[in-house]
Amino acid sequence: MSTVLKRSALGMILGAVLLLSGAGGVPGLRAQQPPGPGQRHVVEMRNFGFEPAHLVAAPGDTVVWINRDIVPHTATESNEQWDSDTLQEDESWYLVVREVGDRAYYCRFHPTMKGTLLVE
Amino acid sequence: MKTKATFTLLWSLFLVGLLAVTTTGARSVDEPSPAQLSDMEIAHIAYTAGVLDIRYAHLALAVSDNPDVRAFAETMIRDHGAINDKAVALLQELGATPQDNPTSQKLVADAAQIRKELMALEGAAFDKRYAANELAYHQFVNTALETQFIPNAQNPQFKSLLESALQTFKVHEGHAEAMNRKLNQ
Repeated sequence: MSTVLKRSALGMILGAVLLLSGAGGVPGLRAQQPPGPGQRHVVEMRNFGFEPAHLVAAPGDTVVWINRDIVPHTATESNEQWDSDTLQEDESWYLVVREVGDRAYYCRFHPTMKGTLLVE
Repeated sequence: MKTKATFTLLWSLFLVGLLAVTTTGARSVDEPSPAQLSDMEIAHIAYTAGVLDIRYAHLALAVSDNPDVRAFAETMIRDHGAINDKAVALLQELGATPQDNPTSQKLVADAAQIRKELMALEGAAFDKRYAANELAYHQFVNTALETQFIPNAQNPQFKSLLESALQTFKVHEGHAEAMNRKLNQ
């Protein structure tokens, strides 16, 4: 299972605890450094789309979604296995991917916003 | 449909009022042309339009059980609220105050009438009427933004905000079209 984390003002310590525990969901700040052992990828929510719309990552990589629009968005896996929850303008959320596979995701608020994340 | 007719009439009156001076030179003093609308008058109209749509959305959440209608209404509250918050922040930064005007007043008056009509409905009849109104409302506002307000806005930051708003409202228009198609299947 992928480890899901949301950064917060509480900082990296709490994030690291959650990463180790496999839990997720702390509201807050953007990730500057990859918490996972692999590469860091950035997906921008911009102009009501995900850029890039299709991302290829490897197990252990960190994917960071940043909302660059003025209205809130989410990054939500199609089967809701992970969900960023509401991201206001310039807020971010990250996911450390663990499982290989091709996952579709979308914005719950604007369902025409769609992306895919291929982990291989 | 009555709602579409209402907005067609509203839009016609709006355009006639806005364009009269450029075509005939004959217009009343209280009907400014696009070129005469100041940024603060445009800001007042745009902000008012957002507030009115939020009010429609709250009504929908109070009346409708339809999940699509409710999701749309929640998005309207979320998005229009965010954009109006940005507008307020920009106006504070600029030290400016939105200026009430006949177009804003007409929007408010027309919305009161539409809310009254919506409140007399329930169930599928309400949902269809709300959805039709949302589509017509966004079409109206988007046309005004695209053809009148953005071209005439003077302040670059304000113009940029209007452009972002238009992009958002066009997405809403698309959502409203999809909602209407589903409700009328």
